[in-house]
Amino acid sequence: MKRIRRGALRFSLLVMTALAVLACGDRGAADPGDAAAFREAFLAGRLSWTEVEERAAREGEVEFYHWGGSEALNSWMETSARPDIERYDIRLNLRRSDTRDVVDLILADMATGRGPGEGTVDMVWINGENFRTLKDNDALFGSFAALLPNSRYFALDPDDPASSVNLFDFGTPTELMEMPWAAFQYTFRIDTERVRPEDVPRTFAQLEEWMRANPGRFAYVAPPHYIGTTFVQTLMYEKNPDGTRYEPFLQDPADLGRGEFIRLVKPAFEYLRRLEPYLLGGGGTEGRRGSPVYPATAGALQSRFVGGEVDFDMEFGVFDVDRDIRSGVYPESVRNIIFPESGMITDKSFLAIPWNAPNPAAALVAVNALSSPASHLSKLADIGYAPGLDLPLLDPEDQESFRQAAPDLHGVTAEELAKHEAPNVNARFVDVIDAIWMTYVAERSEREFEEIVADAWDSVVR
Amino acid sequence: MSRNFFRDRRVVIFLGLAPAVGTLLFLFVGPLLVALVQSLGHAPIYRVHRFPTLEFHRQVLFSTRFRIAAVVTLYYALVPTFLATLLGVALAVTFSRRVRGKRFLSFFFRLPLVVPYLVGAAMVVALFANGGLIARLLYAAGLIESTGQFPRILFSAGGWGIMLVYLFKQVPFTFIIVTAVLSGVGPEYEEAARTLGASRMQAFRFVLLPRIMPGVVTSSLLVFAFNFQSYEIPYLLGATFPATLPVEALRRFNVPDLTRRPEAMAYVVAITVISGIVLFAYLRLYRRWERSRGGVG
Repeated sequence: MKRIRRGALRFSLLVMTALAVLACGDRGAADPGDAAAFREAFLAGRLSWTEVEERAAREGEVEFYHWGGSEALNSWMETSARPDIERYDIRLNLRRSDTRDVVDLILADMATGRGPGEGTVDMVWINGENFRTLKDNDALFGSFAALLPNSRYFALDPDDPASSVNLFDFGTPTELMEMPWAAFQYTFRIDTERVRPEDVPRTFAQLEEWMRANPGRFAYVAPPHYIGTTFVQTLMYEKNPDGTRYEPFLQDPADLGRGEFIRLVKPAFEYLRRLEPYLLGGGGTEGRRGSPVYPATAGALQSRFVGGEVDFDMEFGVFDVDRDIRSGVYPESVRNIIFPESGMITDKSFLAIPWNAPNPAAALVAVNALSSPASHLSKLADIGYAPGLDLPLLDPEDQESFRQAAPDLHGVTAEELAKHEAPNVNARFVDVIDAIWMTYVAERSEREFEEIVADAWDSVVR
Repeated sequence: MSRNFFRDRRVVIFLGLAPAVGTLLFLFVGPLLVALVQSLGHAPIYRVHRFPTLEFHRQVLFSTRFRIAAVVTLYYALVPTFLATLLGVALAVTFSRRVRGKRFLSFFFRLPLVVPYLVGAAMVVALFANGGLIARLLYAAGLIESTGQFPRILFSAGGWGIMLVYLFKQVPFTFIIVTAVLSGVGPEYEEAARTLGASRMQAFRFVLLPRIMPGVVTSSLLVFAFNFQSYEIPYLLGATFPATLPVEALRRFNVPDLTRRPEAMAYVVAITVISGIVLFAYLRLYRRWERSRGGVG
């Protein structure tokens, strides 16, 4: 008995010592002061790319955090991104994580006083509000994008209108603190076995007629899921009473003003309320709301679409249809449609480097490696992610190979899609839209619309 | 000196308890304190430096959204707790007697325990959704004209889907706990009561029930605490509105504007306090009942 107790004590001492050693252990080769100096010198343009590559090889590894919810993406990371980066003597450590959690991790590191070279995250796949949060908290490495050799394949000139998708992320100026990586356009899909092509709506007004004729056959994802929020934004563009579609929503809310915002979005939210009886589970009579179902996730909507309960599916990614037909998720008869004609939201997602990246040079080299035409081509061919680089800046032969590699668009053409592209709203509107939707549509509050918007606005725009 | 030190009973007790207490402090009390402090306006990571302020609590507690969520959460938690306790005790008492096929049946009734809650949710969807098995069977049998006519059980404010999953898992749970207590009690007292002329109901009410009461109370406490604080089942099977407190809390936690984190933390604190009050009141009631009976005879 006594022996056991003493053994246990010794064991716990051992564990505690081990923990203490781990806690104080070396956090990698980078010397913090050195990392700060490197950052400054690189951003000032005082370092040659060869010097960056040399330092990157000394750092020896890179911590890449990315959303890991897609098996196809994860396997592309292993088979394509890994060899592309390891060619530079940099070991790629893939960390699958929710982007929100990565933002938390970076900010928590900063809060505990970890400066340049002392953080945990080297690079992160990011966009929208998450990028904005990092930028607002001065948590980004700096304006590096134009300093990478492969930046010549990206339109980054502020005077060129084609650059705006690369220089604005949900309305937030990127200031070259992130590198475009992939492009996603919000598309609606139908099953031609169920909806005849000539009945396919082209506008939300036509969709309304279709829904009245086919009650209970339409559903959209509930905001604050981003697939739901984007649906509402798309509708806001068409229902903008001035006919200026997305334009007013690109500026900062403070510049637009509350009263103006109310005037611009009211028709869209009235539309959503008016159509509730005709949604899935809605009940189907004028004025009686019933209890409409709002799927909580994109996956939940997709399974209802595939299961035959609703006739429309919606997601970001024009090549998803091809992928999902191949994998058997969709039947062969599913098609992309051009909807609505007033604009299909397209956004890019980016690679960013945090301010306190433990291996900043390796991160720069890795982002550059993932910005090459070859890497974007393999991403397009293997997993159907539309390239983040700008095709017109490539050699004609390279442009042709991108055209060859692109999966089938099933029902639409690249030209039509490009013609109907629309930018996303300013990131700061997203919370307001979600809060209004929750109160006005989901909760069906009795209060005046103006009052509901005022509440949502004041709690978010301060 | 050091030998005596380790022979001291108090030291031994302290060392023995240290791992458990340490874990509890580190994993439970720690985060809860962080939530409390953040809800009071101290969150320098998110650039909130307003400590101490009750503004976030006021904002949350005085909103209709919160009040509706609190009522709904209590409702979704209490109904299955009550039903699971009733059914679980009934099953356990039945199986403590001689029943034909008892071994197979009691194995069968325990099966849901090894199935995760999420799988339970998937099963409920497969069965009770409007496109689900039951709706299709009724349609095939001609009892309803379309699967859309099948009454909405999931994703509605009634919360039947949520409560079904809870029941599915918690009847077996209560069954197992009460069975364990019953096997400690043994049939002798009940048999003695019956020999002395008590009816079956009287023997249960006055002899058996008081003996299994501690088990019943424990299992229903655990079941309630889980139901009140569970997130994933209400998220998957509940209505968009009204939502339960944990769902509302997580929605706020996921708002990209991190300066609003304290609102989410105020929700977390409120959930803990409400659930604590309910559990405490329940235990008090039980103790009072125990005392009024003059302790277990």
